[in-house]
Amino acid sequence: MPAHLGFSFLLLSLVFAVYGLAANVGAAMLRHRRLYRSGRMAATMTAMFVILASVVMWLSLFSRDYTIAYIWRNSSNDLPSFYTFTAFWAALEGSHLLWTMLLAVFAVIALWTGNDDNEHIMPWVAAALLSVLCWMLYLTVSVSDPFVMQLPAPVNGLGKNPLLQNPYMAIHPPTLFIGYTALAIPFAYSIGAMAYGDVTEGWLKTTRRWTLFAWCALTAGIALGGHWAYVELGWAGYWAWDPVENSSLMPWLFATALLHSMIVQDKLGHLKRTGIILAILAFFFSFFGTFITRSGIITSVHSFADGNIGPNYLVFIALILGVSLTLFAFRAQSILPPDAGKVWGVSRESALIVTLFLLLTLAAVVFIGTIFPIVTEAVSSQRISIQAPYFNAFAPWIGLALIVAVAAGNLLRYHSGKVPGARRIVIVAGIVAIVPWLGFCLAGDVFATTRPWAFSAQVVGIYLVMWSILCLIGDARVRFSPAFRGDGNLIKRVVSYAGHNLSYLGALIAHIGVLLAILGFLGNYRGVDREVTMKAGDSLALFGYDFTAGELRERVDGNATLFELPLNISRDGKPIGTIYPAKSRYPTKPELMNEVGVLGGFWHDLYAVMVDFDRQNRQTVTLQLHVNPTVRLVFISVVIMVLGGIIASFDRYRGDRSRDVAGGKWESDWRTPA
Amino acid sequence: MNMGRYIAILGVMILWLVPAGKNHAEDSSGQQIFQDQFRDIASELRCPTCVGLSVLESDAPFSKQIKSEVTEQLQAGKSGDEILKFFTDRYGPWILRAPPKEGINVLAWGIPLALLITGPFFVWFFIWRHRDTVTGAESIMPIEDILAAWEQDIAQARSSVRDGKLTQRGEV
Repeated sequence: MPAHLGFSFLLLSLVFAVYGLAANVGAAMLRHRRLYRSGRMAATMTAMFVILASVVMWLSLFSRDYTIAYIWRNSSNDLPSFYTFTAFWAALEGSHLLWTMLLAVFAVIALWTGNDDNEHIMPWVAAALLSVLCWMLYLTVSVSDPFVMQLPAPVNGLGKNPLLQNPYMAIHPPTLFIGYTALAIPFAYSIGAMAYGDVTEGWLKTTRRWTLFAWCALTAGIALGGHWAYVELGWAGYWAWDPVENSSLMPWLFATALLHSMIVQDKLGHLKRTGIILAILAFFFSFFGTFITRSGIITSVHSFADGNIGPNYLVFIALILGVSLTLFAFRAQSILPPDAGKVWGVSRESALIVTLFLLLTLAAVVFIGTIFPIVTEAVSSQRISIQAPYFNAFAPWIGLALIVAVAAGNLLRYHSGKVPGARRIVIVAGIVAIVPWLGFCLAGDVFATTRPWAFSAQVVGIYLVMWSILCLIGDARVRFSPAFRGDGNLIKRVVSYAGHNLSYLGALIAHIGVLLAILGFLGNYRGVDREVTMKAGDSLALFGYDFTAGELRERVDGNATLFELPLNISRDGKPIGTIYPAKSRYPTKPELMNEVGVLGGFWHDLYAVMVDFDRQNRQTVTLQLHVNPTVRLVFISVVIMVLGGIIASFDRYRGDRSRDVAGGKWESDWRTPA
Repeated sequence: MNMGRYIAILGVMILWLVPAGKNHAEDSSGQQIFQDQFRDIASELRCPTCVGLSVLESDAPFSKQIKSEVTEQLQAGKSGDEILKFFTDRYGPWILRAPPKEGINVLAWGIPLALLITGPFFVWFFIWRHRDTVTGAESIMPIEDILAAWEQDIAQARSSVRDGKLTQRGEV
């Protein structure tokens, strides 16, 4: 019964979306205000019904209604309630429904909170959003129907994938989906701007906020996914350049590029068309990632491909790109900067161009590395793999250039203006950086690196990061200095400056976050690991830490049975903690899963995976022990980045100094029946 | 700039960092070199049964088999390239984690490289294209002026909000 209800809600939702699309296109063509309002109401109803369908899904999950095949496949009677809640997005149909729901909700929020200045492009914005929704909803009632029924209902479900029974996996997909779907708003506004013929006043402010919001969610989502891989998959890393990881990185790179091009658009009115293209590509790549996940065209940890949803996605993403780029080709020539003669030269806007170049090149590398195995197979029927070594051949160089670009860009000003004493800041930062650089290298055991390439990459990278951070601080000192901010103590000056320039404060924090993340990534060049077989009481020294094995024991945790080994760790004779690497057994799954033991510290993560244990006597255990440097720093830096993004999105002024077309409210133009 | 304060802060930082900074390097004997060599090779070969991982990172039976083969061949005195070739001959280029630079795969390596090399020229061209279309005097605005103009904008916006007027540009 609930299945019928849920399906009906989805159908109703689709009906409203189709009507809303027609109404909005009509409103845009006829410039008919009431029709637009009707279309907006239809969009609202669309969202309402998708939410209702989702509520039905959740209620059925909790009532263990195995008449719904999706619930039967992805849950079981023993599943704890938290994981029952998250079983909603444990597989294809459910996550598609979640995606659709989030998209509908954001679309409605965007339509109701739209700036009045944009009112005359809103029908196009709504039409773009609703056309995407129509297609998503069409899939939910056709090839990706989450409410498919089976009768009679089995007494127990097949159980949820144990890998997904992890708190990070519970929040990673929704966070990422929030980012993906929020990118639809800048995309829709780009379509709106192109349909209207120019970027309108207020456009930038709205799209900037949505892009920042999406960027924060994507950053957090990617990091949560990395953390999940780190603690759950047991290969001691957080990023494998896996195709689906890559396809979450691509929208992030485009969103980051978009944020940077928007700054130039805000300050100088240039790069409008670049912004539009970037918004389109960011949205396209969010779907491209889904296409890869859903279609199974590329094998990946994340592929849960079945059914014929793949071709549908392919047609859709081709349509998104085709329609948007055609529109762009016809309309772009009217979207011009306010003053044609722009001096670029040595200036911040030029540094931003360089940043765009670096980000987009990285995106190109990631894209080529992701799709090239298919290209090669199609062209020469030869199978190849593209994994980490390929990406690691390019990414470090781009990262290095980005470190320098962050410092240089922040020390330059618009219109070839320089920060007073920029040269001095660069030099002083270069000298002062030696101290934290040396300290970090000593404390982080960088000199223990044996291989020359890994060693020099770290030495150069760490120095540049320290220098870049000091340059940022030097720039902040100038901005907060009494010369510009008047008398008063430092806090007062910072508040008076940041109070009306939160976007600067946010960017400062986010950039420091990025630099710290790079500092953390460099730790990958100096990790050590060792495989060892131990029995109770055995001890092993690795990288200055002593690992002592305890007794193998059995423990019940939730619905899982754990076979765990307490591993006591000490450094210089002082105990610093115990970790519990384990194998776990879930009632519905035959194979044993890895439960990683991690003891996190600032300098090193001590990470143990139980490879195997003696099943008969339970005496010996084979362990893979890793000392992973500065993993925690990476996750801390992500928090800093997201914090910066959130702060920047509260900036009330950015986007106000728009040099774009002043559209006004255009009320007189709207055809309103008397 | 107050140099003294800088030095004090840095001094504290050093004091905090140095005690932690002991060198825990393993002895760089022949064993270490052998280990490094093994790792370099094992991280170039993909785990055939997993996704995204090298045989080095994997404990799948197939990977273990490959790893012991690598160790054996290294002990037999084969070079890294020879060992990689052995596996490529046996399993095809698929076993390598980065494609060989031949045939169509040249593009996979060439495009990013070409972008990285030629890109800066395009950027340079873009940046300097309009260099002389506006006279320098107009373009270089002292930062004080920018800030002053900005403050004025903000003051205006604030006062219009206070007065309950619309903040719409042009209506203030």
